[in-house]
Amino acid sequence: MSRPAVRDAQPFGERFAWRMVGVFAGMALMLVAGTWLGGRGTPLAAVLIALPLTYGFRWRAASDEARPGRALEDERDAAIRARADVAFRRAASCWFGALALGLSFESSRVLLAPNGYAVPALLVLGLVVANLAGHATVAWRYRQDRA
Amino acid sequence: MSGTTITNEIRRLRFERGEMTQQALADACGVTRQTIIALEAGRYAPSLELGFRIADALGVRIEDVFQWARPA
Repeated sequence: MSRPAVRDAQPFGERFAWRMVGVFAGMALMLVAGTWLGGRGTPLAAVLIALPLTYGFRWRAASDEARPGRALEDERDAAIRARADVAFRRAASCWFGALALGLSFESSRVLLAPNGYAVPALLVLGLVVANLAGHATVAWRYRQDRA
Repeated sequence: MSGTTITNEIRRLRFERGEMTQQALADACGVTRQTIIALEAGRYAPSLELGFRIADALGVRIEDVFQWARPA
């Protein structure tokens, strides 16, 4: 599918959400591979730097696509985006609840935290997964709405 | 988001006004074309303010555009 065709079929919010799903999936993969397989702290540092920057991505993408006299997003997009908050909260609650449980037992603690970077990485991974869930929910809602 | 008890005559009114395009109506109301598509398909119930803006853009009263079907 050519780029203009995608642009016409998918609203800005959906394209941005899919893009962010890729960004956060990449971050999660990098954290897991770097911390648990590689035993390095560099991926954790990279994600910690990148995470706050992602909040500016929407503003940047919107200003790139804005056209005078034409709305890029409206109240319907805001209603769809509101679903992301629910998904974020649910994912974060589940993640941190499960993490607390996992770290409570010696046997699972050894598996979860084989090195010094693992516990901070697990905390950051929770934020990454919650963001991923939020963006995936928005992307999925847009897709369902078009069907 | 999907399914609403509010029905509308946006498509008919657009065509009665010189086949006004969805994009032209969207621009006149300050919304995206996807929202007009969702409204015409009955997949989205607009806010009261957007309802008034659509009626104004189509040059009719709000009750000529939107109808509410009482749930059975």
